[in-house]
Amino acid sequence: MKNIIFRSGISIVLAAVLSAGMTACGDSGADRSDADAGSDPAASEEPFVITLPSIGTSATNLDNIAIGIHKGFFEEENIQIKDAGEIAIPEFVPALLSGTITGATLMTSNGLAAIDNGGPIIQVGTMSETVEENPHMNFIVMKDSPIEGGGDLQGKKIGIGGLSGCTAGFPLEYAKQGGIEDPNDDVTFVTTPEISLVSALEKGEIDVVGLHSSPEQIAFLYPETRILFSDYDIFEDRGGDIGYYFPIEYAEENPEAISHFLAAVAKTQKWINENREEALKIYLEEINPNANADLLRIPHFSDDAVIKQDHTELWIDILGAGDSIQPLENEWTFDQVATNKYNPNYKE
Amino acid sequence: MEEKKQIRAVVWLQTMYRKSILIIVILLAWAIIPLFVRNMFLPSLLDVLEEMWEMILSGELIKHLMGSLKRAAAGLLIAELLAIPIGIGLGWFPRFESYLDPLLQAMRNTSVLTILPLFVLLLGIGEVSKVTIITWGCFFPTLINTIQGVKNVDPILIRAARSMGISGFGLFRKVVLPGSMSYIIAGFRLSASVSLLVLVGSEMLGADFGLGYMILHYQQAFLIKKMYCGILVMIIIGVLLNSAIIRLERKLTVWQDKPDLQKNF
Repeated sequence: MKNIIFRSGISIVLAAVLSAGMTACGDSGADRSDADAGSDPAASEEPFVITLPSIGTSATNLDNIAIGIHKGFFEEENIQIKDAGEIAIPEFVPALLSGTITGATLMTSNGLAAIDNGGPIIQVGTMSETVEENPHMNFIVMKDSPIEGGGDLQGKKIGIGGLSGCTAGFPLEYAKQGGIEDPNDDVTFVTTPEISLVSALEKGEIDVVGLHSSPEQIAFLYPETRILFSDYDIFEDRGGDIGYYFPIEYAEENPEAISHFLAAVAKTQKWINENREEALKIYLEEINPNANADLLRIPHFSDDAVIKQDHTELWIDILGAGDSIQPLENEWTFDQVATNKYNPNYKE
Repeated sequence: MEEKKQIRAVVWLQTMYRKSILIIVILLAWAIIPLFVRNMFLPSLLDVLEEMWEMILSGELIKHLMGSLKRAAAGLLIAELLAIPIGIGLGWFPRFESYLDPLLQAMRNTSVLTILPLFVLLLGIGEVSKVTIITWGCFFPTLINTIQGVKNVDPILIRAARSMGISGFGLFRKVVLPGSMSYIIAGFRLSASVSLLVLVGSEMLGADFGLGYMILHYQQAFLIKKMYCGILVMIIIGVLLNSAIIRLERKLTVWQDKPDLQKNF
């Protein structure tokens, strides 16, 4: 008996020593307090290499990076974009933190949630944003649906492609504006790939569907449906931003790379906004011939890639309210989660 | 007498020590390391347990757990009710088996999660598609094992029973079924594991509750501690289910001689 107790005790002590030994070798992780900025790399002839995921592979969203590479905008800025291959969107943050990719695009709400959970990343620019004629998301119902407003969402099932601050946040806010006090309890979300959503809507398995398709696409692809609301109806242009995120350490050590990258994407994004038809043609004919023109969405891109403070602060307020789908545990300010200091287009 | 009790206690403690020490070391490491090494995807076990407790108190975890257990139980039960009689029939009548075997092999070797989207498209996103895919996944391990069990019944026992004038049904009830029981239970055990694997996959498509839904939901929302709660609960269920089936097997095959493997070493 004494032998058993002695051996058990030794084992526990060994486990503790082993754990302590491993922690001594561990990385303490990035600190969000002001750190000494890394020295800017001197301008060199060697291009800045930035690894990004899933370049030109989307069959449903026009990839601005692929267009920028094709048009030579990145080369002009001495940026070499390396393709990390296909990575699923939920894996962007792990890939970013493991170094598999250098940068990633995230919905502002998701970027905030990742930062709040300890992710040492920061938003440095804006990819796409909502405009009235091209909102980030549209929520549709069948044409004969009795649902006419936010108050009618009580007890209803909303189908979305994946749960996040935007897919769930928009309908919850719409429900609140319709008079439902605690929509978290009264509205149910069903997640399934978007391709299955409208079929489920037609069968009556769900009541509302959230899509990232444009109003024109919805009218063409799903003529039996109507748009109930979009994110523009709730938040105007403030709620639909998708941003560029980099690890804080990388940004501080490579400010020139970030600046040139943002200059290149801004040029690309402005060009696409002004030449949408040509961008579509290039994408379908030369970048991704497998993409379906009817399904391919061209969002409205930010002309200058500048982050708008009120857009970020909207999500800080929504997620910080405590009753959101991605509640923040900490309080954040704009400067802690985003910065325009690397963007050459930014004017204070 | 006292000495015997002491010896039994020592043996029991030794057994518990052997079975649990590695798990304890891993759990300790999980509890301690994240306190020093910050990684948003590896919260400390203590934080995860704290979150789990809050989820239990709010009823959220129970809701997802019961939803998943009902689906898994329904799929597994339907699969066993189909696979065992069909397996016995195919094992006993080899001619029927020869007709069906190529089709069964093709179906068995199609990865369940590959055809999951097909089930959703054909059967919708409701409970029918989820229970159906679980049934599909659980059916084949039990079927194949049952067929093998029937085929491997000791022919000497069958000849001996027949020589005593046993009826067909009596032969089945007293020789074939008991003789194939260990294979059937082994198949059931495999199917039970598959039911949990497929359950998680099925709940990631078109669900609004369940442990798989919970794990995916919280991963997407970056609520990592809650995600780990779901994963931990799945592990605990798997271990408890496996233990329960082992006990069931011991009860149903108590008459069988178990080989003492340690004698060979």
